[in-house]
Amino acid sequence: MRLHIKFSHRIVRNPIISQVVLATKAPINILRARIDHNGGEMLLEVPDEFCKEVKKEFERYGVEVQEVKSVVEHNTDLCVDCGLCVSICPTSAFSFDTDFKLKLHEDRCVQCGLCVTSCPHGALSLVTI
Amino acid sequence: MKTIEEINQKIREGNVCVVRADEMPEIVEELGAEEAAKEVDIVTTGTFGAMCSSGVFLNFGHAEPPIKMQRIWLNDVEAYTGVAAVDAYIGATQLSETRGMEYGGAHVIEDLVLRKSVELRATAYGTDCYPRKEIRTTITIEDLNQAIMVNPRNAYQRYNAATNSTDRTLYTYMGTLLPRFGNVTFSGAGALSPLNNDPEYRTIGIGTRIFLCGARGYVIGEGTQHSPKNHFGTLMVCGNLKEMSPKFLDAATFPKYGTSLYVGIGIPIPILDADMARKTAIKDEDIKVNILDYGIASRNRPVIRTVSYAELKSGKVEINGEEVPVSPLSSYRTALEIADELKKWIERGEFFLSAPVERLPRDREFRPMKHERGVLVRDVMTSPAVTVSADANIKDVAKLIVTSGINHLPVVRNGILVGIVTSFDIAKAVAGGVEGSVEKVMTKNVVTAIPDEGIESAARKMEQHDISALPVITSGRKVIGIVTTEDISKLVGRRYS
Ligand code: SF4
Ligand code: SF4
Repeated sequence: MRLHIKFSHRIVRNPIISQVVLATKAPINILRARIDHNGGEMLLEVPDEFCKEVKKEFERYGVEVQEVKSVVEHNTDLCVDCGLCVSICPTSAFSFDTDFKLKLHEDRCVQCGLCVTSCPHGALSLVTI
Repeated sequence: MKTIEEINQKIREGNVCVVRADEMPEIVEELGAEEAAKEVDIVTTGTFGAMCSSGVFLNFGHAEPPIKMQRIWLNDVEAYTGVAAVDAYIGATQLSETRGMEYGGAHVIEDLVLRKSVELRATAYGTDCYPRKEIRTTITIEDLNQAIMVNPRNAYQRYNAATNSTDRTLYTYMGTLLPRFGNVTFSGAGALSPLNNDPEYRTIGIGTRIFLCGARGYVIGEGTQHSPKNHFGTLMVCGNLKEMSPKFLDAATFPKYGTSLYVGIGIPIPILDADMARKTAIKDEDIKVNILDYGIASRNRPVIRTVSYAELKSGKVEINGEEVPVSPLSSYRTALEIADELKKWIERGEFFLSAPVERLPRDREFRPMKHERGVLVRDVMTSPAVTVSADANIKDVAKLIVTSGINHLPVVRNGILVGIVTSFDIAKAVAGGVEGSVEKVMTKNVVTAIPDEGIESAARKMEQHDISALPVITSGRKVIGIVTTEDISKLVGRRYS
């Protein structure tokens, strides 16, 4: 499962991720991170069985945690099923189904945003969480 | 043997047999070409992809008082008005002057088809018959007298695929090309594409009725860059924009490249005889294109390898032993839908075939642009150059300089450049009482030029080394001429005065 975490600038310098990993022993994978003067946010991949615990642990440090379901929005009205995004995505999150329609495998997306800027029809956007 | 008239009669009677081009290989394999030609009357084709060479002629009608539009903008995208007072041509790739690449001519065309209002702005110099100098209004497609799509180059028979060898991402009309052969992109529908099913243009020609963006359209001739000799044929087509459907026409923006229009074209191929049955049984495996390296910004891009559409459509090709993901640019799903739609029209008796009034040329080749090549050293050099032998006596060289008035003398041994002396070197030697051969006083490290070098490059060399002449040599260092700053400035004076 993916978790989106958000923390204020006051705790940016604390080694929270490490503390959470040590406390929960969860193998956490950081997919994306952004930190600026307002604080930071991260997209984490956490095995389902650890999710609850990890969430609780983060919240103890004052970190906001949200479960992420959809990460890139695919507007099928705008999409023409060209498939240009297929070879762009580093995690092969797109494929064609048997009717040559574009299929998005959301679970593979790491929100890099490459497909969003490459789609000629503006059919893809990152879900801002 | 069947005629187009016989096929049209079958359409009228409601017993015409229409199949989609992708179904033909199997039919021909099963029945044989002769039988297949008896069974099948029409094969429908389709393609839906970015076709930059597209646009629409618009007629706005006259304002009161009237204006002869000299420049015109539709939603800030300029259209061409050098055709009478209130006619204009809006091209798909023209960009908005306020929004840049996110909106262009293609989007104006799409907005018109979507029945959206479009802002029209025009300026003029004013004449006795057209006194008005400015106009600003809002129009929709209904307000236009005509909106006729005329696309100079559509439906490429096949198109080379693209990749990128460099270490930076490239943004092209073939889409985003990832560094170090990160991906391959290709265009066209392969065996479903119209021209691949009639490669000798027996049935597709001037006047052929076609499916164009959901409306009836026509082939009006060979497309620009039509290059049938190497199977890169193209079509010029026209159709009524007012009847077109947004389902089969789509504006696009290729990041950091610009706008383009996705155009849907379907062409019915009459199966007149076994030969046409055989031709329409073409498979993706049979259609070969090159993968070109767009990392080299030249019109002669290097070929990385040759592949078939079947390989491209598989989603992966091998380059230098690595599997590279492949993306289409065209929508195969929509191409199939177009072939199906055209099939339905024919079966319902709403669409009849037309025989071409003229065939398309089959012997053309696309030639590169002829443009002035830059001026080269060979164009301005003095040739042959006066040279001296390495063992020539300094005194003799001094005499030669006085009589010939030449300031720079390449020094050669058996015709091969070994040094250079200037009149200053010789004068200094004579004044200093140096005697012997010229070898003693020559400069050995000679800065040189080659005949095919641009004069800008030669001028830069002379400036950098603070010298005023360069011996012009062959790859074997044979002196064939000399170029001086004087030669270049004379030319620059002539060109710019
Ligand atoms: S690039 Fe855009 S339009 Fe093309 S298939 Fe992907 S999402 Fe659809
Ligand atoms: S955002 Fe990145 S990872 Fe997600 S689908 Fe697009 S290209 Fe793939």
